Amino acid sequence: MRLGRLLLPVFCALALGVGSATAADVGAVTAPALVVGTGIDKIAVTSRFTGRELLVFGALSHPGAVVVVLRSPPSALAVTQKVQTGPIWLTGQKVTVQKLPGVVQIAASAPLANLLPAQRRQQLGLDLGDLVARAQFVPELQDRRRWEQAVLAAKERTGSFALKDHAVKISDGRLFSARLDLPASLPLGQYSLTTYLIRDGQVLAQSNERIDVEQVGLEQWVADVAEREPWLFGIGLTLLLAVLGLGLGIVMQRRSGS
Amino acid sequence: MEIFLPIAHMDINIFLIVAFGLLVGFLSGLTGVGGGFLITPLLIFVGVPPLIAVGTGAAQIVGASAVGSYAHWRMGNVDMRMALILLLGSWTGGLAGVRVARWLESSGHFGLVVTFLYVGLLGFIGLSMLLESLMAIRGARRPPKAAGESKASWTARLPWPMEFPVSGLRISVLLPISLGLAVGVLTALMGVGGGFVMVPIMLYVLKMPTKVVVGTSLFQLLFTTAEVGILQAGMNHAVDPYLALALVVGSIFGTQFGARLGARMPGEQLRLVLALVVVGVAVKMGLGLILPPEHIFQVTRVV
Repeated sequence: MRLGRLLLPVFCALALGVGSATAADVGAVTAPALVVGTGIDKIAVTSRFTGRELLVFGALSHPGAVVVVLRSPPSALAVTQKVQTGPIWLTGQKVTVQKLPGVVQIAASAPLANLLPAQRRQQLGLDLGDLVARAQFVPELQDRRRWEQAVLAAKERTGSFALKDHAVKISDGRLFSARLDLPASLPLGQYSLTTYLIRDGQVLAQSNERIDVEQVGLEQWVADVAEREPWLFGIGLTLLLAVLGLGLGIVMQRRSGS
Repeated sequence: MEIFLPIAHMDINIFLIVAFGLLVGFLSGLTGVGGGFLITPLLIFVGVPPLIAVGTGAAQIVGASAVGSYAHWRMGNVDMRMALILLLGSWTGGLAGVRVARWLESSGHFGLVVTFLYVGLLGFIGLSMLLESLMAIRGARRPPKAAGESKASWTARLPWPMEFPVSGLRISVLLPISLGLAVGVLTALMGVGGGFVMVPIMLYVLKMPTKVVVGTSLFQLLFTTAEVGILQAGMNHAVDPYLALALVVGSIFGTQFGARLGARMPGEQLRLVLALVVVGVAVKMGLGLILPPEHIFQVTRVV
């Protein structure tokens, strides 16, 4: 079903010494505590892109737990509530949700709740419910809690938000690999991929990479024109449809006539 | 083959959409009734957002009706003066309708309004076709139009009469303008060509000759759907190119097969089949209003 599902290998050991890791909570660390090499820095979205799996590899200098989080730029949502009036379900209030990342994929080597205290998880943006709670709802709501739960549920249902507690595998205490699932509907732009090395409720090291999600080829051109020049796009497409209909129709009629 | 739709923001099997085009084109070729009013509900059933289903539905009619319009124009079946005056109305109606659609969409009610319109309209068309074809199959002749004479008298009293030489008519210019207006609004709000409204009114109210009715209605429908398609893309970002192309390709082939088969089959039974399909779609849409939704909150991405 999902044709676009490909494995994206990301190097690990080779990347040692690149120095992308930063010592966060550890004092004097000479060698990088955490190395994450990304073999890809770009994801090409074509019209046949229906989601894919992203594989992240890395190496650890200290034993510990690993958490990988991929975050997309914010993407606005429209939320409507269905209200039953008599026998009919009508559309009730409509709310726009802003300042919420379109996609957040978290993979951890152990249950995240056991690795970090709740407050630290919220600080690092690893608490999906808290992310929704910090988003902006326009207009402001009185029963905001219910709407937040609905947004979170919808995000999890479509695979845009996911927290997988055992999706990072650590082998020999030195190497790790993580699997993240990217849904079909990806907001475009600069994604951040952050990896944390965690021990005893502390972040020992973290590493940040950047992944650009871009449309490519003809698809990009079509989507670009439709977005930026909607009138030109409308006129062009309408002419194309008319010519296609006329051409195909005449060919078919000639065939059936002869 | 799954592809991602850039405007609708969803992935869909494009062969399913071609199959919709084939099926609706086939029914349309078989029975001679345009199938635009089936395309939009089918798109909505597979999860295309209602506004995009409506915008794309209108745009694909341009492709589906181009060859028919061209053929009738070549044969001289188009009353050009009538068509231009109808277009004056339908382009105005289309513009107003697309603005209304935009406003309804921003307040979150568009999907509901479309569903109501479809349940009402398809229910009405389907039931009247069902009755008509059942009566025809049982051999009962339709009674000759009784109200025709009185209608002719009130239409004759309207101001600004105009000569339509091709149709051999002298009627008030207000009639085609308001007919066009209504059809334009329908095209914008429902993604239909509106032939099912226009053809009976041209025949029984305007009293145009049958030969001219088909050509003129197809001709104005082509340019009305073209205008609405452009407006829906330009103002509402509501026309998906891949959906529209797949539907056109499917419907051109479907129409040809349908027309060839239809020539060898009894018309009444065919219309009965179409009537049952239309009633079925209306019932399915109606159930959508009554059955509890799967999710009380509906979350969509804002483009």
